[in-house]
Amino acid sequence: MKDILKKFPDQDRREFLAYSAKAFLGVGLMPLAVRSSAFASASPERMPTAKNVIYLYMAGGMSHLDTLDPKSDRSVKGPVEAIGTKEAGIQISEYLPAIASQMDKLALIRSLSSTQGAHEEGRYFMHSSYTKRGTIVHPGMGSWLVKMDGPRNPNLPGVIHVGSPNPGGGNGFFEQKFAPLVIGNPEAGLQNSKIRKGTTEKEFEDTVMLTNAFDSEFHRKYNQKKTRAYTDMYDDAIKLMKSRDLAAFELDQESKHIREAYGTNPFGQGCLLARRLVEHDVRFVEVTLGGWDTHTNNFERVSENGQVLDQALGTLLADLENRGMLEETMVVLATEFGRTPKINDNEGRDHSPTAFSCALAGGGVRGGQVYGETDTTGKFVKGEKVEVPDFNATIAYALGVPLEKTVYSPSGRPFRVADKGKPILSLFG
Amino acid sequence: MNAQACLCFCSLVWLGFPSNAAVDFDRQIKPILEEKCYRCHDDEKVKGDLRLDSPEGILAGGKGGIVLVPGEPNESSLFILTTYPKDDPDYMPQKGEGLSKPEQNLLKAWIEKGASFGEGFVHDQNPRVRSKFAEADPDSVRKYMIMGDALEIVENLRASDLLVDTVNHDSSLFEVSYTHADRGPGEFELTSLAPLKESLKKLTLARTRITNEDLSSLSELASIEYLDLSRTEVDDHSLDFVSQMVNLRTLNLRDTKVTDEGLLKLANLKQLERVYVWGTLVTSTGATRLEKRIEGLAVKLGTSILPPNRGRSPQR
Repeated sequence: MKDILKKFPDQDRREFLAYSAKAFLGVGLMPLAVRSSAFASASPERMPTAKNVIYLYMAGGMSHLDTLDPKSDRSVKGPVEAIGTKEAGIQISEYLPAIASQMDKLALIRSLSSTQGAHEEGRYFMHSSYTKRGTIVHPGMGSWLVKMDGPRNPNLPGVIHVGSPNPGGGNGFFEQKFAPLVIGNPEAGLQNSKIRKGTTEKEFEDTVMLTNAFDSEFHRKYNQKKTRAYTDMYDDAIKLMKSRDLAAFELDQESKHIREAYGTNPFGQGCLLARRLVEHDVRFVEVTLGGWDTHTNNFERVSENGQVLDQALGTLLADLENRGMLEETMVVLATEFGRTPKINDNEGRDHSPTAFSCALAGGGVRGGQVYGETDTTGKFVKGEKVEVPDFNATIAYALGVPLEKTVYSPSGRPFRVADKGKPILSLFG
Repeated sequence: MNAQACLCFCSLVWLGFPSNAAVDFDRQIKPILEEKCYRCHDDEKVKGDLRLDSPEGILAGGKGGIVLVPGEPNESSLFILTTYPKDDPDYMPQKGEGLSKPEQNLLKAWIEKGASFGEGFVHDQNPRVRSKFAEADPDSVRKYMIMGDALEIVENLRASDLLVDTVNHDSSLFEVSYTHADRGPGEFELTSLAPLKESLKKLTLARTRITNEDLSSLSELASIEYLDLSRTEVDDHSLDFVSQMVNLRTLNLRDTKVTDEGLLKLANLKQLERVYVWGTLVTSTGATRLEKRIEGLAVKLGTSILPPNRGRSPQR
């Protein structure tokens, strides 16, 4: 027996043991399946539990120095003081008191590093793990998730973006049905989702039938993936119109004090909408907060923006925990790059992609920890550098999207969900 | 439009290299590398830390990682980058004339055949963990996780509109959700989950119209560790059935009608770690009473969520 086992590489041996134990003991339904992750051999103590993601994107480059990675050097910090958090030993900026009180749920990553120093390119890289190319458009994480693992609610889109006409991560080369649904104003909800006034249900059905009759010849002739993708889209839209899940978009079903707790601004309401959508099993909701490109007047603007973020994220984490949703919902706080330690002549900070901070919560992430650090100025990463693809690999790993699986674009080029990124396993469990 | 696409496709027919003939590295591959690749990847100029002028160099790869995966041309950048459109920033070679179609095919065939560098040459055992799903069709959602006997059971359940998924990405454990199945009161037939046996770990009945009558067969599904009954008509009587679930670790009862009295029925569930009772009539007294009976249990009453009071009005 020993000799047989020796022939297996480590991971296989472990799987074999688990397999035979279950088979011989008659436990469970084996042999059914194999572990989904190639990283099983280095698996953390507890497997991640994420199913859905609320991805909060700070567009413009959030100053890490004035938010998640405050510095003590007077020439770097400007007027911003650090405050203690719920976790002893972890300090963040005084602009984020509500987030500080939720630190037991958050893992801060202070050692992110990007190769892209311009907004559009940085945002694209952050969302897709690939640098921008003229010849191909890469899918974002939400589209990967739905493509590989399917939606959980058959009536609602799997990916929804709130608050940004240019969210940075679309369906890329995947079919249109994996594209995010874009909601401009969270309070307006989903537009044009009801049958037009004055049209009866019967009339609507007749119209749909007539459309199908006109199209049927074409569909018969060109029964291909691309043409089917378009019909699927119409079917999905009709399913959504008739669904009770449309209520997910109705923010006025929430009490006044909950709405105010999230913040009576588009981002706060967007976060509330995100919670409602995930409650209805939408898998990936991205909410964007702009205004972080603080080349001028950095401290006043970060303070204002920080307050909006602080209120929304602080409330969101408490609300998810109350509802028992944090275990399956991963909350991501991300941005395209950090900002310079040097305060420029306009009281501003400029782009600095060499080091910046992001944060994760829920979905199996162990809260109350900091991963990685920057030097005393915050310009460079000092230890445990996390490249952008590594960060995305961590999210994909938590969701169970196979990192090692290669998918080919229609032009035959190979891509993976997080390119060659490696997940940070120590964040889990 | 579509006819055109079809014609294009036809014109791309393989410019045939007989795929069963062995390809000789020294005679057939090396000259291609010499002509097209050495310009930037030999001992004089080592772009991207990559040397292609020796088998060792090719195997070592460069800054971007390994370039050759024997048997997998599409995973080998040594081959795949030569097939990109010429204006692509990643296209190789970046200088000089690119590989012709026959040359590409030769390179592809050589890698497919195992990328031998000559007679008697043996590659090290591939240290990379290979994907077990490489052949799976990504169009068929979630199928890639589940195989064998289970697939049939799972597909039967899915055919009755249930969502069946793996738990924490461990494909020997299953989760079933009724949330989107549109079952009326009395139509849940929880016993239909019995074929999943011990593998059933998670059951979600949130937002459904489940009744106590439906719940009475819960005891037959004792392997469940996670039960979500939130936002249903579940009441204290329902907890009589839940109290049979000895393996239960997490129970979500938020926005239901349970009270302190009902909660106490769970006292014999020694594995219980978390019970969510936000939006119920459970009080802190009731929560503490149950916590005292079960070691390691947290009854989550929830923290109150209040609008901030900081004297500054939020940005609009």
